[in-house]
Amino acid sequence: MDRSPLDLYKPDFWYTLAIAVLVLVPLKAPVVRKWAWAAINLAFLGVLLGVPDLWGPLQRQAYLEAARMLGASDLLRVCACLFVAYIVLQAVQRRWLGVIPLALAGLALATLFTIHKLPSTASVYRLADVKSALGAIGFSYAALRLVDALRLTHEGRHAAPDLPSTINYLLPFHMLAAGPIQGYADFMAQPAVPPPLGASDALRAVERIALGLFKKYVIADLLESSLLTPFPTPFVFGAFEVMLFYFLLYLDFSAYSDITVGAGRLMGVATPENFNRPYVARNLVDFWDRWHMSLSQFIYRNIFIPVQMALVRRTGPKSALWCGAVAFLVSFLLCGLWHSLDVRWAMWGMMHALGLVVVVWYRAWLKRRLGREAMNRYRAHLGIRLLAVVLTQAYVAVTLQVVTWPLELST
Amino acid sequence: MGMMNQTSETFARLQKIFQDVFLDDGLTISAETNSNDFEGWDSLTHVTLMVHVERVFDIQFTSSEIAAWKNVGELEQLIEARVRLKG
Amino acid sequence: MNGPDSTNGSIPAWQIAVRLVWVVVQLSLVYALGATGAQFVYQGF
Repeated sequence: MDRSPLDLYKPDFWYTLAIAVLVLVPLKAPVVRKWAWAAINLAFLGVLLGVPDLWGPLQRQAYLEAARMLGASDLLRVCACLFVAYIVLQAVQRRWLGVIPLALAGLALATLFTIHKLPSTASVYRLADVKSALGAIGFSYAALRLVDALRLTHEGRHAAPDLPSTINYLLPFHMLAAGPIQGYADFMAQPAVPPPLGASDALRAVERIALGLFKKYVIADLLESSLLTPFPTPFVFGAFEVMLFYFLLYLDFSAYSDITVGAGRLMGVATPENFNRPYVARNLVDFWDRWHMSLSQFIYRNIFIPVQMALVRRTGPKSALWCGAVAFLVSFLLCGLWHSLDVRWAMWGMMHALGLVVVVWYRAWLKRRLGREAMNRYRAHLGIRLLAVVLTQAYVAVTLQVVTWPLELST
Repeated sequence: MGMMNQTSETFARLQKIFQDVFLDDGLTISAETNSNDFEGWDSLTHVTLMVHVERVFDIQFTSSEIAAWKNVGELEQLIEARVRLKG
Repeated sequence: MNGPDSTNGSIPAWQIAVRLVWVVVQLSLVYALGATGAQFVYQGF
């Protein structure tokens, strides 16, 4: 059984989308709509993970066999985890058992994440199956959504979700494979029944989906097959290939995001944007405000702000730069490890943290040196802007090369 | 968002904070002022602003509150709510 | 933040027709040129 969550050349995703649009668009009753959306998401999980065929054993009255099949079913396990997540969120909101639910949730998430992301677990018996199921449902994205929900519920900013909303928030079928990581506040803020889908809105959504498919399956694939070679290239062509690899990754990932945003708009399900022209970013801070925005915003809310604020409150505003440096280091080390628990991604995270610290310190130094008027002229200067954009894009492209090293070389 | 008294003490102190953070004594803000209005107001400047606000008003925000406000008007409401909570 | 779809409002009928044609062209090229079974690089992160 194919466990890839998003092979767009297979019909599963598109059939599900079509059914979702036909079912959800006409539904105006909020409760019915919510449950229908949950049913669709669970149905897609069934397609993805496989539904155990219990009919045979039940016909033969082999109940033990049926129970064993059910127990071994990834679908049932995922459903059980969703139900547990729902209970934990309710417990956190109602302050049942103090911090125990939060602690247990943290432990469970950390354990499952390690199984999911540690490369060596693929060769461990029994863990390989768990790893495969976690990959199929895009666990690393669902985990971040759950963390956001736990934090906001614990802070009392939002109520815990009911059962269908838990399913819809954690595992929406169109955001399974690679996000976006919708914030819990945004999820709760969306209207229970979206505005009616007009012809213009439907066209925009379809255009978005078509653009995503075109970017991935035409532009990116053509560029890759014609320009990227497996052979070693002299330096200047190597530099070109480094930039091309980055550009292809942007096309690929932003294409996927286009498809999910378009699909969300058709269904009336709020789906956050993930990219805002990262190729015009003039420094790394600007870059992370434009690339994989749902992830950077998650990191900003859940790691960067708490770490920096905790440090600055202890040490004072004058040390904000140093505190920011520490916050960047912690945030981007975790960001790197979130991609994969290996040295390459940790290095990638550190390189970005270092780049961000340099940007921020350089900017602070410039402000002190130039003063307001000259600083504004500096920022508005076209030549300086172009140079800044080129340097930023080159730095991002080079850091990406680190994660393409073979795993054995990096250890 | 509601009507906002732009001459309120909270607003005046906020204006001073913005002037300090952006190193511009002539800088003026309004209720609608947001991150699109200033070059260099990015995620890090945002946190720096909030640190100054916490110190000046002697309050403490949650991470969600720090990330959530969209313009100065919302920030002013947030500050006044926190100050009222403090008693 | 601005995505490609940030404008709202109705689209004139003639524009709908032109844009639909472009959608069909894009999807036809996807069908004709796209590799079957191609996975997204980023999935599984």
